[in-house]
Amino acid sequence: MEFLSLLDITFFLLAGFGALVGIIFGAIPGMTATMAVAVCLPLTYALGLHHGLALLLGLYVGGISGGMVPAVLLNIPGTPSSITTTFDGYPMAQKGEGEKALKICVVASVVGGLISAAILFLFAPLLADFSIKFSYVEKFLIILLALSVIASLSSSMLIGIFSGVIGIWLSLIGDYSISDGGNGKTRLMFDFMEPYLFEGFSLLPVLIGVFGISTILLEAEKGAKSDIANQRIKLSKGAGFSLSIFNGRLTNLVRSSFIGTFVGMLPGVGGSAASVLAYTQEKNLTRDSSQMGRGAPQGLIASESANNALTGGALIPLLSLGIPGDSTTAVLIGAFTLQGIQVGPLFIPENTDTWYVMMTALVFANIVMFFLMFYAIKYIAKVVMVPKHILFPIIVMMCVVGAYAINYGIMFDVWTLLIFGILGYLVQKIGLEVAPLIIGFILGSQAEVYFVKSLESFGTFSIFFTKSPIAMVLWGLIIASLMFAIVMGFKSRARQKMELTQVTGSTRTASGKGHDTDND
Amino acid sequence: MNNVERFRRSSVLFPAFLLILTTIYLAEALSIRSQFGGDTLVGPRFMPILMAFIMYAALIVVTVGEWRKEAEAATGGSLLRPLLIVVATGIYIALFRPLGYVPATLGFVVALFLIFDFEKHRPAFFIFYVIAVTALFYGLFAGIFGVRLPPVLGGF
Repeated sequence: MEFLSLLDITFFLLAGFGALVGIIFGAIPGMTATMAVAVCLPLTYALGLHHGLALLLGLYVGGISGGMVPAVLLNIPGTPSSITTTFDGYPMAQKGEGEKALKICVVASVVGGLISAAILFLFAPLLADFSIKFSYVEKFLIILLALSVIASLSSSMLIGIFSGVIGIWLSLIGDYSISDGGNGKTRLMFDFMEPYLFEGFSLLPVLIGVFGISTILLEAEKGAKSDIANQRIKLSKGAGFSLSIFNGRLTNLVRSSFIGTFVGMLPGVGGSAASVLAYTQEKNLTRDSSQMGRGAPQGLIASESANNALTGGALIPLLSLGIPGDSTTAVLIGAFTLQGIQVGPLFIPENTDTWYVMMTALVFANIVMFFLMFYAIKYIAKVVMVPKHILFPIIVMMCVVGAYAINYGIMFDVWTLLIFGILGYLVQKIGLEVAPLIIGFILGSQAEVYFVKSLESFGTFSIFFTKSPIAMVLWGLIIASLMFAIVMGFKSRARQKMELTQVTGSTRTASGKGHDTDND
Repeated sequence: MNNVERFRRSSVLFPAFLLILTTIYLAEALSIRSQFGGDTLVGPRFMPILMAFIMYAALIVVTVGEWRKEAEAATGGSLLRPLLIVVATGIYIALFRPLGYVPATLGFVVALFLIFDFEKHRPAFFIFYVIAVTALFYGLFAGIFGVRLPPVLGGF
């Protein structure tokens, strides 16, 4: 119980402050939890690991939750994971039940967050304990599985491959040391770059650039002044909130929380997948789904419990295998790197205090989020009306000065921030995805080391297939994920063709009728 | 839509750019030599070469797909503002050390506020916010976190 001495008042204040700032970020459309965590990353160097984690986990939980506010009040998902919240939240707000809808969302969110924290607490140490025995072969296959799942579950498998490969490319730049099976020389760069890129691109400016600067550039392109300035928010009229709304809907709440946690464990899969899956399940399993999409509380429960459950789920592979579950946990790796700690199977056994501190921060952030949003929802709702363009210059400043401060004044880090800000912007402009790119960047060089060391140790390629039953199971999962992507691709293409045929058919019918009328 | 127009679309132009980049990358990867004697299959160049071939395969599929696809309506939005942010940030980074934190940051904040149309019509508020933001970040990083920010004109 030594970790209790680490939990001072500053720790709780930072977790609470993080949750509040995260809610604000999440509530402003276009600004995400990942961006909030990335922008505040440089602050954690001075705060230290435990206080820094309290702040970042608060931001994570708050950022995911805040997205519900514009989703319900303006029909605009504040974060991608709130997309399904708009389906029932906005119709309720239009009926004058905005406050009731938000309170349902808040209760579902806190339950989802706490269930996923419990699963994280129980499951991550077991998985870490199991994975400690992995050799280089299994470690390589785990990363290969992560990358194949990311590619499979991207909007298109090719987009996932492109994005992931670009990330791996960038991770291979720099010195390839002899101890890692390399030749001790720098590679994939021009000679004049060696003084800057000897150790490759620094992770933190890369993360801040991709998730901070690129988001600002994308938002700036849309226009500084948003349309929501002219909208009026309707919060409450008529029926209020009561916990009895959850009567008969506990199964939905628990099921959706488990779905969110499970989806969170899959690398690179965002919260939107979790909430869409939970929402679809509820729609398929409920006795009366006719009201879903028209202001049904069960839709809100499914969506919000699933997207908040993502937080604990995404931390499971990060803390037990060193593989980030989503883009926000990829940014959290930056906080550990900043403190010289490597996440992976040995993290929990060797950093027990940090592990308990993280669990405390996660649970506390969920509780703070609940109280802030449940009792101060009227004030938080006003955040959605804050014009983004006021915050953008401050965020850009935070990114630039933060990147300078991370390594105490290395200017190349600031250039890296700008380079990756532009890269992140261009990548998203042409339809690629940043989550696979960043996860490829984080895992690429590790994958190479494990691959080369496996061959050095065993001397044959066949070892990847025959090393152990675990290796065979991992191959099975890799093949299954690829097959899943291929089948889904075919299904999607068939559906598109069918829709196109229907549209063409109806257009012909309409034009045929038009001709008839003209003839008449 | 003719092929020139199709090529000018970023969805074809970018794969073409990636194709060139992959070729340069592959050429560089092939020039990597092992530390000890002969070039075995697995060594420091294996992963870069493998990644280059995966990229080639994906590029072929995407390029063929794009060529067959009909044009999609271009989305709106001005590229001017992102471009201005990038230019302003580039100039800021270049001048950060030579000019020092305070003058460089004052200039950068002015540029950002102008780009985002912030308080353009109220000069007094504009100047107040410029100084406030510069001071806020100085206080946060230099005051609270102890980061040594560059002094004015390199030390005066």
